Amino acid sequence: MGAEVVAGNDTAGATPDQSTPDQSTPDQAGPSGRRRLLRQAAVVAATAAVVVILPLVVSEFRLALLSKYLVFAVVAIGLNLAWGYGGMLSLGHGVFFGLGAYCTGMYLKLADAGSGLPDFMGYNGVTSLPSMWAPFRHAWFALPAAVLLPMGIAALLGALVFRRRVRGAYFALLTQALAAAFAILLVGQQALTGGTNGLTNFSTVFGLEPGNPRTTQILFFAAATTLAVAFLAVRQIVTSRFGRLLVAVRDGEDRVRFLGYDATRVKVVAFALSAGLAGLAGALFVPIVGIVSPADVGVVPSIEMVVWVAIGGRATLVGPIIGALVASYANTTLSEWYPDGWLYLQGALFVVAVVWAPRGLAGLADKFRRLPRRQPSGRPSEVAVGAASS
Amino acid sequence: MILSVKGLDVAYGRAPVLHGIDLEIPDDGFVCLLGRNGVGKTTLLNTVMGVLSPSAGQVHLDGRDVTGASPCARVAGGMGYVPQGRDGFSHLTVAENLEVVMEASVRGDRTAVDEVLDRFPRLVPLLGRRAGNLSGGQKQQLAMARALVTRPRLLVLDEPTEGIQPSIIDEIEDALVTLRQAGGLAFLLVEQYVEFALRLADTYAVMESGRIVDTGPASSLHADDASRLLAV
Repeated sequence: MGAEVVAGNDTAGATPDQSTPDQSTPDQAGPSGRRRLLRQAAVVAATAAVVVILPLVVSEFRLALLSKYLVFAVVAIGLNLAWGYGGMLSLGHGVFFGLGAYCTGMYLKLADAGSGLPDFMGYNGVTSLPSMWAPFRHAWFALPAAVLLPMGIAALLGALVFRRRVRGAYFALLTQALAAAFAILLVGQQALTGGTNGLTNFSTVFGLEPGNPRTTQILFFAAATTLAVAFLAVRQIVTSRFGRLLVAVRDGEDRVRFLGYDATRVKVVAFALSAGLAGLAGALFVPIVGIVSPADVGVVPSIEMVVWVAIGGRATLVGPIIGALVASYANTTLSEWYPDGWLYLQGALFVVAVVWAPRGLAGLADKFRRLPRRQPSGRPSEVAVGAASS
Repeated sequence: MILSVKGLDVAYGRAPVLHGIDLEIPDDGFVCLLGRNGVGKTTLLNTVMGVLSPSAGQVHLDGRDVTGASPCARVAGGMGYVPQGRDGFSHLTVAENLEVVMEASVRGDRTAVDEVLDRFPRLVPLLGRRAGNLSGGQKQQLAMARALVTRPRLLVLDEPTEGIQPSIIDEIEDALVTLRQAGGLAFLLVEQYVEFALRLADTYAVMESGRIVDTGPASSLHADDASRLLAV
């Protein structure tokens, strides 16, 4: 009989409370499809306009903050790929973010030092450049390493733990332990990593002068472009065959195995991609903020990354971006007013998001959009009854 | 023989669960495995599928030793498994559930999906619905459909009628009968609904305390006797 199998659009990762009408075929050709395309074009145009106008209307300080938020959004959409779509709750993404950040930081320190040693090494009695630092003299090594190194470590970790079916809370605890160990390692190896102070005091950023308004603008555009590219890449992934498979693995890992897939491989790839995005964000973070230290990569920042995704809405495409921007802005603003208050509020927001809004802000927006519209006259039920009786 | 299990011992840690299981399923054969809860039926299926490793014994699929093979390799070799419980890929639509399998399988293609939908016409109007929003019976049919998209040569079913309304059980039975008549497919069915199992199977095996204690032609076992045998 050959019933045509059609895939519902934008379904991967949605939650059970989101109902889908039967036979939900993406209608690109009809009037609704054209309306959707127009709406998407309008959103893209408006976003591009905001990105172009913002540097002209906000202070350099605020623009640098905004750049940092955009970088956090890149982490969030990567983490969402692993957690939201793949069900792998990582409480250690700070490690991958940190690896990317330290790769760039090492390059910038060596660029400052010329043929000598980075300043902090001198303070620690180091007389020759450690061999692990040597390749980071070259941007062609350091920048790809900022993405590939986190991906490699995530792939290795994933291959080891996913093959042994470590998942859920056990996986989350394992990644958190990794974050704690990484931060302790960074602090302990002061001569190699700068210890608690981390890597800072960069006198140039890829040939640009730090703190210069032009540099801030360039870094803002770099962050916005990276976020746009990362968003499109993740969107492509989650709407692809791999994305469907990733959601299937999240929903029923064993069942995927019984259907002939190697679920471990799927999870490893998704986790590595997620780590790569965190590394990319870390690589951008250092030139924008001018420092990376263990405080940016340990357990607390890793949990904050999860909070961004939870608040914005996991398994939604835009949610993590909104979550990262809103939570980071609230963090900055409230920290200025009540320095000790933000952590409590953040914890409360996380609880609220998990308990009452599991799909986060994006889910709430979606719910409001689906509310039945008020009829022009009379109650909806009256109109319906009238129509039925006539 | 499509499946041959010889001297299979399985233990959870130090606790032995299965003892010297021997089981053979001929090509096109239909074996039902009966037994009370906790006698090791699902453990046997999980070992046959490669989820659990036996401490002794061998599993041969179509003459090849697959004792150490992964579940994926066994599926690629021709096994299809409908595990107990109906949860599937609840956030994917029915169509996506089938497509995911079709893309994975070495033998699955769109024709396989269409054939499966012929077997389970109730799924056709539900193609765009999220699997999590299906009823229990629809989910069970989808679970069987997913396994069939891989075009297995041996279909392993673990209590497909559990908690399903009678009309849907009839549909499942019809589908299995049709599949059987089409040929090229053997079945290993674990079932508590004895009448259903004996109507379909040509051979029965009764398990007790991790052992197969009785086996014979299904026609020789009266449902009432079987029910008494399986009563707790």
